[in-house]
Amino acid sequence: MTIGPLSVATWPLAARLADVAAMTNVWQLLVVPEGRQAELAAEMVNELTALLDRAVAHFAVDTAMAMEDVVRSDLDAPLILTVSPDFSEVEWRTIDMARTRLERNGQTLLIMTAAAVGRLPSLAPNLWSWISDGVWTYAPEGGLGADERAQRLDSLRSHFRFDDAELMRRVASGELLIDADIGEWLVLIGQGNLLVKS
Amino acid sequence: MKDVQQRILAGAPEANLQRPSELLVQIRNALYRAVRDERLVPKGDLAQIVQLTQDRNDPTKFVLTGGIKDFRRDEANARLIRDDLAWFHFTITLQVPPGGSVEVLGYDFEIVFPRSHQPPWIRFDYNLPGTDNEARNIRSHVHPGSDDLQLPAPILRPIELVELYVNHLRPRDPEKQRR
Repeated sequence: MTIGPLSVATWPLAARLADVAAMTNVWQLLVVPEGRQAELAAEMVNELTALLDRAVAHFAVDTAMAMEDVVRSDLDAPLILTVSPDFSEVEWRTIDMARTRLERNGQTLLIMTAAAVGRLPSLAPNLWSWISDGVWTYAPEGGLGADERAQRLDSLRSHFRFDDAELMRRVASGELLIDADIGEWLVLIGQGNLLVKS
Repeated sequence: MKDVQQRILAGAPEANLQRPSELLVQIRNALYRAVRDERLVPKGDLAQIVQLTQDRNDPTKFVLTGGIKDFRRDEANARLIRDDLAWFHFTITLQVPPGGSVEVLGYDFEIVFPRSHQPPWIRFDYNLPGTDNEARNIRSHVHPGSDDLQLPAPILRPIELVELYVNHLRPRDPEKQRR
């Protein structure tokens, strides 16, 4: 199956969750690489806490009982749940039968690995019906895209009226005042080493 | 102006950040709160408007950019737009030496005011070190609506400049603007 066709980094996902903070029982799922669950969960907690200006609960769960307990412990707080890859088929079926007891006011974000999510739609179809519109695959941010980079470089080249080679020549000779624009230009063309000695 | 330059540089604040992404988050969070408080009406997604880009060859250098770079100040390229239609954009150059913490090497933060406002724009510049520019210029200065004029300025933290532009650099009484 295809899971999480939409890629997202933690801050944009936190902003999406904060945008819908007033909606009830929003369930989303962030699919993360093996071994990075704890780190990315902590990042989500920090970023969502800052955006919502309120505490965000975070628990790691490995059984249906633990999951139900924490989900119901505070029905209003935003909740991030790191679900163990060892969550068994029996646990998922148990959770699914109890879905109505999982209904909450606050948002719930599950953090799972791709291997663990694979069986979720068939093992817990009722829970999945809550989640399926909000499935994301984690992807780190890569900075400016090719078009944005090209736009900025075009703008810099036409403003200063010289090209990259001339830029590097002037920087190397020390004749150019290095302001933030020149700094940006050098970094965007992979010549940031010319800025200052690291 | 050499003494002024030295005093300004002596007052440079520490960034107090371990990773450049912390500054990215700090700035996006401040802008997100400004949107929520209806002080900022961005054109587009904040995560797209404010980005952190690493040098592909020198992993110690980064540039943190907000808004579209447009030296002509065409309002069609405004992205970080305040509720009073002033808009701003910025570039921050960062360095993280191996095993070290984040250093702000330089920045420019420009705010463009709605038509008829005087001055039409203001820009805080903090030029990068390592060239002879310190002999010719005050590294940290503000342009009061003219590229030809430079006033010495304190070195501010990037987040302080964001907060200045979002919240503070506004008429004291919008109904009775002074000339």
